[in-house]
Amino acid sequence: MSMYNQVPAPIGGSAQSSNYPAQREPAKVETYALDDTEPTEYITQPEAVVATHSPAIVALLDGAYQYSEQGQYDMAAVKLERAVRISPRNPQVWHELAKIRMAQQQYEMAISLAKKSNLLAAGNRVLQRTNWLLIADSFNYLGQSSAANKAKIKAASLF
Amino acid sequence: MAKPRNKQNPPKKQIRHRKAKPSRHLFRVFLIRLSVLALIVIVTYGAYLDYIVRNQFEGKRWELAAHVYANPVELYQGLPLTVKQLETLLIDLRYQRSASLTSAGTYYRSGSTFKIRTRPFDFFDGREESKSIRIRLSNNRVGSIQNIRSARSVALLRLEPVQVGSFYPSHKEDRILVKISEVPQTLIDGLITIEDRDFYQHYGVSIKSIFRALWANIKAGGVVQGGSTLTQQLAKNFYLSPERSLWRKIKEAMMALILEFHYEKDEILEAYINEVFLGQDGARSINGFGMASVFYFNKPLIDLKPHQVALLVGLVKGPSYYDPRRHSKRALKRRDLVLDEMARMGVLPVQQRNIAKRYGTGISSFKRFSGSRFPAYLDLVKRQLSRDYKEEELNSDGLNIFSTLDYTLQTTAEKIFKGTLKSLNKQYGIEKGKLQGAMVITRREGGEVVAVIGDRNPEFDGFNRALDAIRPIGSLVKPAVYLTALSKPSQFNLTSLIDDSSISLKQQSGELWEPQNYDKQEHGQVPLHRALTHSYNLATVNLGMELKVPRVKRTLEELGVRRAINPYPSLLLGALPLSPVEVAQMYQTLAGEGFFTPLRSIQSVSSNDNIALQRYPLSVRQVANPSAVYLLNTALQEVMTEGTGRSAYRYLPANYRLVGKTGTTDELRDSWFAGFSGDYLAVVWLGRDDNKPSKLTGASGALQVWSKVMRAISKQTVSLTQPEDIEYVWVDPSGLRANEFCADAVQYPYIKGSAPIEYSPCVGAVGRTLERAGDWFNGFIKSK
Repeated sequence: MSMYNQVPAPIGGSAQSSNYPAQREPAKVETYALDDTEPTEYITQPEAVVATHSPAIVALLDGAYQYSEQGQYDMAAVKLERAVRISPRNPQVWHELAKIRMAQQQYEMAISLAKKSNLLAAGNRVLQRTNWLLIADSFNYLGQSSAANKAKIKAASLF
Repeated sequence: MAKPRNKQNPPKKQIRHRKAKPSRHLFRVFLIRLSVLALIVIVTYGAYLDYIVRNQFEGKRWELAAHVYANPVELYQGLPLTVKQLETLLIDLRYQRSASLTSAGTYYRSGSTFKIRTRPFDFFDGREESKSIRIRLSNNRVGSIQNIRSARSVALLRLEPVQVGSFYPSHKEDRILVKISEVPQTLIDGLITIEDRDFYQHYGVSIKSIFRALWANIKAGGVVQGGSTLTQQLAKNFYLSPERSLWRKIKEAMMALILEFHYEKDEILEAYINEVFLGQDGARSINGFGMASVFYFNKPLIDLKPHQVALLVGLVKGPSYYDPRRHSKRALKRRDLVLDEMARMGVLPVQQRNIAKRYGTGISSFKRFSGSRFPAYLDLVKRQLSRDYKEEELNSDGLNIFSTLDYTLQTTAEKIFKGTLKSLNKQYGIEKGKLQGAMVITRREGGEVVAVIGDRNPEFDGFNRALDAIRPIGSLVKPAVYLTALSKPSQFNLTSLIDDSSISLKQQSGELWEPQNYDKQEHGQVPLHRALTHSYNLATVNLGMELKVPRVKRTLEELGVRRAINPYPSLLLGALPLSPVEVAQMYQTLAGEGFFTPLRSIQSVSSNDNIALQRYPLSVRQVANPSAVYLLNTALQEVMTEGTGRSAYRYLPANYRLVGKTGTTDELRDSWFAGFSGDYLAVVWLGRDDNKPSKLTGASGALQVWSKVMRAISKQTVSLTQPEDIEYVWVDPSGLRANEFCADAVQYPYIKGSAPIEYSPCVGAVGRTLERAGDWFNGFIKSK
C-alpha cells in the first residue's frame, strides 16, 4: 500500500516551518543503495533488554519485526508507536523506530530517533553504542563522512 | 415517456386537422414526421435516463460521513486500572451486561474479574477479531488477561475505539454500508413479503401489483397503497424528487426498467437496503438498514433476531409514524403484522413467529453520538486534515479517521475544567459567565494531543479558544530567555547572579518602557534560578538585553513557535500573542528534553473499506542542547516547589517533581499555566473574550485548573534524563562552590566545566585541598 505524505500536518495557524532555519530538515544529499556499504551490526541482541520489558511491549516489538521483515515499514512503525504510548520512555522502542526510518531511507529522522533513544538510554552502554553505529551509518548514507566518523568514535568509546 | 407527448399532441392535431382539411396526403406526411421526431425524442430521452441511472449506480452511490475515532484503549498486564474505571470504559463502549456472553459487545463482572466478549474492529494495522476474554484486576492494576477458549494469556488486548464524531455530507444522511452477503435472510424475506412479493419475477414494474394497488385505491376512494416494486422505490429514492405526479411515476417506471435491464436482482436489493430512509436523529437522517440496526439496536445488522428485523422492515412504510422510540405500541403492532405476513407466506416458521412476538421492541436506550461530542478536538482534527483532503472528501468519502484523542481523559478533563471555571467565576466575583478558557493536553513523549477544550462549556461548538484565542503569553515566554542563557555555559549557569534592578528602554514609538516586578520591588543581585522561580521581570529583562532579543527570538523559534515574532524588548516579558495549542507546541520541546515533536491529533486515515490511506507518523528533531534543557527543567521544577507554581502540590503528591511555569499579563487579563508531569503536558489559558481583566493570576486561575486535571489524569512522576555532561556541585547561597558540610549549601546541576570555581569561605583550607586532590585523582583516572 502506498502512503503518501509522511509529514505531520501543521497545528493551528502556524506559518511554513521552512521559514525558520532551526525547524528545517538538513538538506538532502545523494544517498546510496543499502547494499553498497558493508553491513554493520547495529541489530542489537535484545535479549537482556527485552527481558525487562512487559509482555505487551515484547508482543508489539515482535509484531513490528514481522512487518519490517515483509518490508511493511509503515505498519511496523504503527506497532512501535503503540509501544511508545504504553512505554513512552523506553529507549529500545525509540531505537527500533530509528531502525525502521533507516530502512525507509529517512536518514535524518533515523538520526534524530537514535539520538532520542540515546538520551533515554542513559547508563545502557550497549544500546548507546548500537545507536551511535546507526547514526554513523545514516550520516554515511547522507554523504556526511566527518559526522559519520565522529559517531563511530563515540560508538567505539562505549565498548 | 411517450404518453405525455401524446397527451399534448391531440389538441395540436385537432387544430392542424381543421386547417389542413384540403390535403389528407400532407397530413399523413406530417404525422409520419411527427412520429419519427417523437421516436427520436423518446430514444434520446431513454438514452439520457440510461446514462443517469448507470452513472450514479456504478459511480459513487452515496456520500458517506467520515467517522472520527478516539485512540483505542489497550489493556495489558500491569496497567493501572480500577474496577470502576474498567466498568465505566465498557459502558462507554456500550457493552451490555450478560452472564452468558451471548454476543459480541457483552461483558460480565464478578468482583474484580471481568469476562468480556469483544467486538471485532478493523484498525489501521489490521483487524482485531472478536474474542472472549477474562480479565482479573488486583491492587488496582490489570493482573491477568486470558483468552477464555484457549486459556492462554493475552499480552495486549485492544478494544474497539469510541467513535467521537463524524463529518457529515451536506444532506446529513448517515449510513453504514452493508453487502448483500452480510444481510440476514430474514430481512430479505421480510422486505420482499411486505414491499414487493413479485420481486424476483418482474422486470422492474409489476402490472399485477399496479392493478392490486389500483383496486385497493378505488375501494378506499384515495391513494392508500402504492404499486411500486422495490426497484421503483429505489429509483424514486435514488434519482427523483419526492413529489407525486403521473409524470414522475412514468419516469420512475422507466428508470426501474433500465435498472433491471442492467443489474442483477441482488445488486438492486443491496442498493435498496443501503438507500432506504429509516429514521431521523435531529438533523441526521438514518439511511439504510446497516445504520438503522446500530441506531435502534446498537448491533450490527447480521446479529439481529427475527423480531428486530421485522421491526425494521415495518419501519419502511413510515419511519416517523412507526418510530419505535416514540410510538412503541404502533411499532409493535406493525412488527407483528410483518411477522404474521412472513409466516403466512411461509418464509418464517410459525413457531419462530410466536417466539418473536413475545419480545418487546428491545430498542437500545443509547443513540450513537450524533454530530460531535468534542467539538474543539474535532475542529483540530479537521484543520489538520484539511491540508491533505478537500472538504468534499472529508464529508462524503466515508473515511475512518483515527485520532489521538483519549476518550476517558478528555471526558475527565472537561468535567473538572467546567466545574473549576464555574467556581473561579463565582469566587473572584467575575461577571457571571464571563470567565472563559481553553486547555490542551498532550502526551509528554510523542506529541499526541489527547484532549482539547475550547470553551467554558466544553460541549459547545463555537469559538475554539484552544486554537483561535491568540493572547499574550506573559511569563510563559521566560523559559526561552533562560534557555538562551543556559545554552552558553561559559557565561551562565543556574547560580549566575543577575541584576534585578529597574531598567528603562526606549521603544520604537519613542516612548519609554519601564517594566516592573509583580511585587513592585527590586531584588538586587539574584541567582538565575531564583529569578525564574519567582518570575522576576526586571532580572529577566536585564538578562534578555544582555543576551540580545533576536537571540531569544531564535530560541523561541527553535522550541517550535512558528508565528511571526517581533524582536522588541517587550518580547522578554511575553508581548507575544499565541494560542494555547501553540504554547503546548513550545513546551513540548521542553518536555521532550530538547527534542521538538510536532503535535499530532491524527494517527492515520483509512478508506471506507478499510484500506490504509495515510499515516501521520511520530517524528522528532533535536533542536536544543539537552543539557541546557535539563538545567532549565530543573529550575522549572523549583518554580513548582518554591516559586509561583507551589499551589500545585496542594493537589498532587510531593514526589511528582512537576515542571511548569505560570503566566500573567497586564492588569490580570490573561491567566496562563503550562507544564508537565511524567506522562502528560498541559496548557491552560483563562481570561475574558472582551479582554477585560479577569482578576486572575496564572497561579490563582490557570494553575488551579491544571493541578486538578493533572491530579485526575497523571500517573507518572517526572524523571528528567541527566545527560552525561551534567554534574551536581554543592554551592552556598551566594553561588560559591561549597561542600555537603556547609550550612545552607545546595546541590545544583552544571554542564561540566561551568560550575563555580571560587570556594565559599565555609570550605576550610583542608577541605579545599582535599577536594582539589580528589578532582586531580578523578582526572588522572579518566585520562587513563
